Formats: sequence, C-alpha cells, structure tokens
Amino acid sequence: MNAYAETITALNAKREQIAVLHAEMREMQAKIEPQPVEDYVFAGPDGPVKLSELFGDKSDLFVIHNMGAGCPYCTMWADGFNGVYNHLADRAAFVLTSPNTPKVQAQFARGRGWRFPMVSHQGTSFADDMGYRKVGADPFADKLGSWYPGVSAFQKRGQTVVRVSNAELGPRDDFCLVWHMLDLLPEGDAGWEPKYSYA
Amino acid sequence: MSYAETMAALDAKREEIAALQAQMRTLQAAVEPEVVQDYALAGWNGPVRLSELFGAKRDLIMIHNMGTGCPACTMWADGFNGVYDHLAARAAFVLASPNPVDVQKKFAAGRGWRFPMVSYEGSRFAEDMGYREFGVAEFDDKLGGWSPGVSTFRRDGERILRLSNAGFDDGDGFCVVFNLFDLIPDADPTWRPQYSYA
Repeated sequence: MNAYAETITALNAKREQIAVLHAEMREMQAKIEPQPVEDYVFAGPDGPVKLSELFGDKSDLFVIHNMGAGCPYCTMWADGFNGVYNHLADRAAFVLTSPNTPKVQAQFARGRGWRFPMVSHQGTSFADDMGYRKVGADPFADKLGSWYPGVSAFQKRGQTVVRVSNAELGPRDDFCLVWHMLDLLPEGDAGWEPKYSYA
Repeated sequence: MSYAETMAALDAKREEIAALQAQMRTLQAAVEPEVVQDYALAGWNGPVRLSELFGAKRDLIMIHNMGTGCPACTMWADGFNGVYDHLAARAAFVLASPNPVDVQKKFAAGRGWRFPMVSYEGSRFAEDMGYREFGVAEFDDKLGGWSPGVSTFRRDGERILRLSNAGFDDGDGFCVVFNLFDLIPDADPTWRPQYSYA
C-alpha cells in the first residue's frame, strides 16, 4: 500500500470508531427519560404561537436555538439546515427560534432564502430554561445577549410536550458539514471563518 | 438515568468523537499526496480539465455523486448547496456525476443547486479515484457501479495532487440529516431520503 492509501485507511478506521460511538449514542438516546416542559408561548409571524402548535401534524419537533442575526456562525448552521429542510421536515417538524423580533427574522430570512419556519423567544424564559442562555460564559455571546446556540428535540405525548434531547452547536459538531469538508485539506480551515457573505 | 445524566453521557461521547477528529486532522496534515492525471471531463460549457476547476483557489473539493438516480446523493448535494458559499470561500467546490451535462443542467435547475457540476462521461476519473466499483452494492450496480464520496485536490505547479478522499454513508459528517434524527429516540428508523415528499 502506498503512503497516501495508508493515510486514507487510517482515516477510515477513525471514521469507523466514530460510527461505533454514534451507535452507542443512539442506544443511550433510545432509553431517554424525557423532560416535561411548559407549553411556552412564542412570537410568530402571525401572532402568538405555543410550543405545542409548532408540531403541525408531526409527533416530533426540532427547535434550533439560534443566537440571532448578529451571529455569522449561527447563520451558517441555519444555511445548512435550509439546504436539507424538506428532508428534515418530512421526518419531524423543524423550527428555528432566535431572540430577534418576527419582523427582523422575516427580513433576515428573506435575504438568505431560508424556507423553514421561525419564531421569536424574546420575552420568554424558553432559551434560559432550555440551557441556551449563559451569562458570562463567552464574551461574543454576552455581546449578543448571552444566547447560546443549540438544538432541542421535543415530542408530543398526548396533551404534554416533553424534551427528548438537546445538544450545543459548535465547530465540527454533527450538525454542520463545513468543517468536516475543510478537514479533508491538510491545513483544515486555514484561518477561514464563517461570514455572512464573501464578496 | 435522568434526562440530565443521559445528556451528560451523550456529551461525553461527543468529546470522544472530537478527540478522534483531532487525531484525523493530525493524520490529514501529514498526508503524502497522490499525483493524479489532469483528467478531461465534460463541463457545462464544453470539455474541461481537472486543473481548470480550481478557479482562483489552490484547493478543490470534488463530490463524487452517483447521478440523478440516487435520492440519497441528491440529499447530500442539497446540504452542500445550503452551505456552498461558505465552502467556496475556502476552496473550489465542484460536483461530478455520470449524467450528461444536459441532464445535470435540468436536474440542478429543478433543485436550485448553485454549485458547478461536471460530467464523468468518457473519462476514467471515477474509476481511478475509487468511486466506481461493481459488485459492492446492488443499488449502486443498477445505477452503473458508481459510489458516493468526496476527493480533495491541490494544484502544485503543473501537477495535481489528491489530498484526501472519503466515502459517504448515513451518519457521516457530510450530511446533517441522520445526525439530527439521532436526537429522536426511535428504535427502528425506517426513514429514507426521497426527491420530494408531497
């Protein structure tokens, strides 16, 4: 085997190890003891909307905790979700929440071509209660209001809504493909950082 | 286990994954690149050489797509389309498939794809790169033996070097859909990607 092939074989062995960890995570997730949550009331584009109403006709719901229009990183994650939105929306309802007002959200979404629904958690304790507001944890986040990026998965069980999982978003997580692609280059991101545009 | 304990255990697994990814970056940084030919491919404006796909960039990310017959490849490409401008800021990004360019043009327009595409037609590029192999998967054989993945290349003077390659599969880092679905407890996930869900 040549040296190139040896490196690729070694990389694939690591990928196998990651796949094993993912399988272990699915087993843990399958046995989750769900967390009951309040039926929060958000500001939607057409007025107040409850968490339970975001499910539409689905029994599962993904809520993205987005830091708002001030965060280019969150914007890139959302660009990625937008690309596969119709696939996601077939399996579960998918909604992005941010601290921005519905008007600001609508304007920003139009500019980026986002197709997924958005609601504002401004004035609610939703983000705090879900663990996606942390004051003093990060100077950049503090400047934007101390919001934190993440995803929560909810299920509707009868009349109640429960949370079945949550995860923070960050570089090289399972929820944005960009760094995984750039890490196929020997210098990785080479100082590249997400921006709103690159003109 | 309480909800909080399961979340802590999941995050511990994510730390293990991050450690493996760090080892992968170390491996990738030390790769001995593979010299490849300057393949002649079919571009949307006529014949095009691999070396011409770099544009102003030093590096090129090339997707090996199985063509319009594969809904999973299509979903991966939908994901790339979402973050195309971010990827294109760091490296040239091109999707290659076995379809003739006319078919590519029509399909890309239907899906709103913004990235450049080239056709393998008449070249041995996919075979040589390891993305055409018969007898591995029945579905792949039916479509022509193509398999899905990504190769990265670098322009080095007159030479073209391959820096890395990876196959695509459910749960990889190159498509977020299955990874998001893994947050839902579901013993037997039967969901499969489709072209549309009307």
